[in-house]
Amino acid sequence: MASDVAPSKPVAEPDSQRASYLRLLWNDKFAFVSAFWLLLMLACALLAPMLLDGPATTMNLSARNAAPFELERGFAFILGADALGRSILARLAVAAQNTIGIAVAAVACAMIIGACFGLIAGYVGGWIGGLIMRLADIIMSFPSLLLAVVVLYIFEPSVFSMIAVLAFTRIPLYLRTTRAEVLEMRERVFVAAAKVMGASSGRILGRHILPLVVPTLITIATLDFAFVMLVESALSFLGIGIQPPDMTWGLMVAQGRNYLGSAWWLAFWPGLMIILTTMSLNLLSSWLRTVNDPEQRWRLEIGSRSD
Amino acid sequence: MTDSTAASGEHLLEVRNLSVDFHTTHGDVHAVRNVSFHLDRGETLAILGESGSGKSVSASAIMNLIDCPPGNILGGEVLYGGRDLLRMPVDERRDLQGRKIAMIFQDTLAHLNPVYSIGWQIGEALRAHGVSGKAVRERTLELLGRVDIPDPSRRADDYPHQFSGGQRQRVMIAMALALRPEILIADEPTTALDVTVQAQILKLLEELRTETGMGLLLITHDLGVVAEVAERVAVMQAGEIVETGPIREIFNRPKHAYTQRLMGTIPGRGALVEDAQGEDRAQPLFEVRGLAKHYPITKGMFRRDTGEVVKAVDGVDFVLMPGEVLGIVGESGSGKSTLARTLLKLETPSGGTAHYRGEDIVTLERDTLFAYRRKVQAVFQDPYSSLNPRMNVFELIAEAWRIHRNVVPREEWRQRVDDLLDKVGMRPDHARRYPHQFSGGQRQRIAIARALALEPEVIICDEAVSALDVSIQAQVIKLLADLRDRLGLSYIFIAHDLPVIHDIADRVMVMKDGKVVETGTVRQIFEAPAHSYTQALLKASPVPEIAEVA
Repeated sequence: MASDVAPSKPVAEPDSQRASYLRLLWNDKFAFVSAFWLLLMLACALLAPMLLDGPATTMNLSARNAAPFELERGFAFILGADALGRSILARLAVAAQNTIGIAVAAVACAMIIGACFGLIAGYVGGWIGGLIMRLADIIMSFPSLLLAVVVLYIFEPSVFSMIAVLAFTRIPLYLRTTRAEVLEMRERVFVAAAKVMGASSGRILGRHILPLVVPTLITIATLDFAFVMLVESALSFLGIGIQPPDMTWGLMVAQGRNYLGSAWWLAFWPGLMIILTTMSLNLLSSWLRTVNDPEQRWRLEIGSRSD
Repeated sequence: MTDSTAASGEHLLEVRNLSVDFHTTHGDVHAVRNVSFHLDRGETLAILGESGSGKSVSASAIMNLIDCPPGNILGGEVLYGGRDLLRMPVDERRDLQGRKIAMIFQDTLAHLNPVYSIGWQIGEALRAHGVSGKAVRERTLELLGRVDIPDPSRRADDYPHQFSGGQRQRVMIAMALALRPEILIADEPTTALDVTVQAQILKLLEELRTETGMGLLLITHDLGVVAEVAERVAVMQAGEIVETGPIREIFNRPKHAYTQRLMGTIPGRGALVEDAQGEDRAQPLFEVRGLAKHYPITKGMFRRDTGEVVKAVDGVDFVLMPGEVLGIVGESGSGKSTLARTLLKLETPSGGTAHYRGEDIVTLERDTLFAYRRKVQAVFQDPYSSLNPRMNVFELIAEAWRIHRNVVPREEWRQRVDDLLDKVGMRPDHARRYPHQFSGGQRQRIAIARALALEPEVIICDEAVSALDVSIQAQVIKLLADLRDRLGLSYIFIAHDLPVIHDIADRVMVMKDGKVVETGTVRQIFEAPAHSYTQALLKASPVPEIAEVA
């Protein structure tokens, strides 16, 4: 379908379109800062494990629980050090890879699988739709943490199985949302109009229904992102998730819990990272939704007014 | 009515130089500019205007229903009993409203609370103004009886969804009348109703007005409704009153250019299409015999079949010849839309046959269905929902060629879209815009252009002009008639009232409860209707003609 769309537009268009997207991003300052932050996190995830692996894993018992904002040990310790005297700043940067990788992969898998089955359940309906919905009910009614414990107990705890478990338990959320939206969309008159034109089911789903469902899914996904990070930290805390010396922000929060009374910064900084990243995703997704909705785009096009 | 404070000789309600603005991101919109009118006791004043003319905003200003911001009442006075409502303390004003000035609306389902019985809701109006105990119930039943709700003592405990649209409007009227108001403002009270029901409601309003001596302020876009009940008319256009006068003056000797144009667009005044002759040899496009669509009624959680069915379409026969326009008329629930959906293969018929150029459309296979789709296109009622909001006009029209790949080569798409837009009276630069940037009439033009893209033989117009203003309606009908002459199209033109059909159809088929009650040439139907239902429909359609009286 993608090849369908491209040739019909003049060649010069993509460039000017990209420029206008950037201008619209600049018009929404919150979204711009969010995009910047997410790019920074992406850079950390890609580069930090190569560059900062040393400082992140070198123990220094004299710097145990070193307080933040003291420069005498060097800039690496600006955010303090953990219980084994490792630089928190370096660890945050390195942990970005595992954290973001797991969360993105889990959420993306859940969203894609959930959306596909949701489309089928909503559009085809009948006994197939009923079967899909009952399966989703079963997944939902089973405590997700318990399921994760069982699965990870049986299989080797690894990044991959972790992603699989997290994605699996989140599928019903997307599936049900997609189905509900599809049920509403397929009764719209423009869908009937497309049918009358002879459009295939695939085209109706892909061109007419999915584009109107995706914004909702993306919004849910960004909120879900934080939830998945926290579940991942809970699993790590139980000892069946990511194991030291590997690290994630969630695991860092979990490890810092014991020291909340004496050294708050151990749990605070990774917690802040989770919040900032989730919030950025959320702001950027709401910007994306506005930009991609022809009826809403003017809100950004009128420029950055003080109100 | 006894405690009237208005001095004799004064008007019951007088609006002077009212101006209302709305703030939007595209600058201020002057919704109402310097509007003045007055309403006397026992009189019906109609404010006539198309959508966006500011007629509803004027009424909302009287009833204090404008949200400020974004609305802003710039100036003017609304005088009731010598006092200015706009500058009155909020408490006093609230007391006055409901008691002295009441209002009814178009969308009755939205204005009745679904979780309370209608008897309770009418009683609430009474209780809020100090009636109590048994008197409330008595008065409620009396009111329901007055607005002709059958068996009031039983129906009073029913909920809004258990009433039909016409009955709900009656309930709303009963609520409005509960406190014996002096002024009743009716904002498009019959727009959502079938013509026969509309006639009954208008009659009821008129009776109540004579009975109680209240002033009735009727806001409408429908010239027929105005002709039926109003004594004076104020014509609004773009926020201004362009002409006011007794109804006879306005209808027979309109002075302002806009009023003249409006009178010219009344459907059902053009010349009738002459009966077609000598085309019997041609093969019919559609040949439908005994077509039926039944919906089984199921019960309980296992969808047990009760053996009963709803007969949405029940044995319909008709023939559509090439180049012909068949009008199908029926009120809501008559099965006309189900018939259209069945012909469009959106529903599977439960019985009967339908042939298109000799080919049975019930048994169309994948490939033959695809070919059929190309020949038979549709334009739907609601231009706001029949266009995908995420696609621009070019994509909307060109989608037809993405699906049917051999119709137009890709290099010519842009040119063809421009041609089509030109054909339906729009500009080529509209191609880059999105549906929400157009008005209802323009959207319907886009929908027509989309239907034309595949060069169909038949276009099924399912209430294609019902949602449009009367002057836009006339334009779209004219466009469809032109296209038929130029491209040799045939139409199945579905509508809920007869006047719309009058100007375009060759033959008319009247439907009721899924059955065809009468078929005939347009001349037969309008000049010599045989069936009593057709006669009732014709009579109920308010024909905007006012006899000249010396």
